[in-house]
Amino acid sequence: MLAYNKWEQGVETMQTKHQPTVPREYAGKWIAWDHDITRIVASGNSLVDVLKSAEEAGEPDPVLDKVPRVDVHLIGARIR
Amino acid sequence: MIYSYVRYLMEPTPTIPSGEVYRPRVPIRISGPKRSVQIFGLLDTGADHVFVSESLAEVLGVEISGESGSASDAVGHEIDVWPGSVEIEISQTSQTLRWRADVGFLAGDDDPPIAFLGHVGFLEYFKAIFDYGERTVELIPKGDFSVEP
Repeated sequence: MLAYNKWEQGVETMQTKHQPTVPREYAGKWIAWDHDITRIVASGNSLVDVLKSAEEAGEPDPVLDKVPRVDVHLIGARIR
Repeated sequence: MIYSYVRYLMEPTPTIPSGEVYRPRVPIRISGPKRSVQIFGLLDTGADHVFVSESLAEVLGVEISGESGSASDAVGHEIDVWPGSVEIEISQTSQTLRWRADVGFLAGDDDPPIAFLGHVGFLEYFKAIFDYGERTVELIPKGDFSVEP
């Protein structure tokens, strides 16, 4: 079931202004971006720890991600 | 709704000597009984439905005990999957869309992205235009997108 909230007909044309980049040092780790996805505020080996670290860093609603290792390429799923 | 690809800096390979890999990731909010979090989901036209990391189950408070099923990745490896129900929300500027979806929680916490946004439960609601040259993806809600006030 879908809910509606402030939806306007037509295509949203707002362009994301920047290209988020994940440096190699975060490969294989869980990371937390700030709310605007402009910087990585926490990283670690478990999702729970990263969420806690982000909150302690003053980001209560981070965007979470798991970064593949540097030697892992995705093919609709994963392959090494 | 247009989103930039996310750039990952990786080991150079013969096919990608720059080591710069661009992936169509979009920020979504996923909610369970306990709480909601924002995650970067991977738009995956090769996934039959939505799969998320089992690590999210604990955070969201979703029960995934019981018998698991299995899913195969693109090269035939089988991965244990537990079913669960979550709420998914995507928004940009003043637009917010939200729906409930049955998803598969993927066992293991090794390499997979935090979420594969496949057809049932996500892509079925949009026309998706992937533009690798511009490094953007556009998600256009479909005409039969059944919204309610």
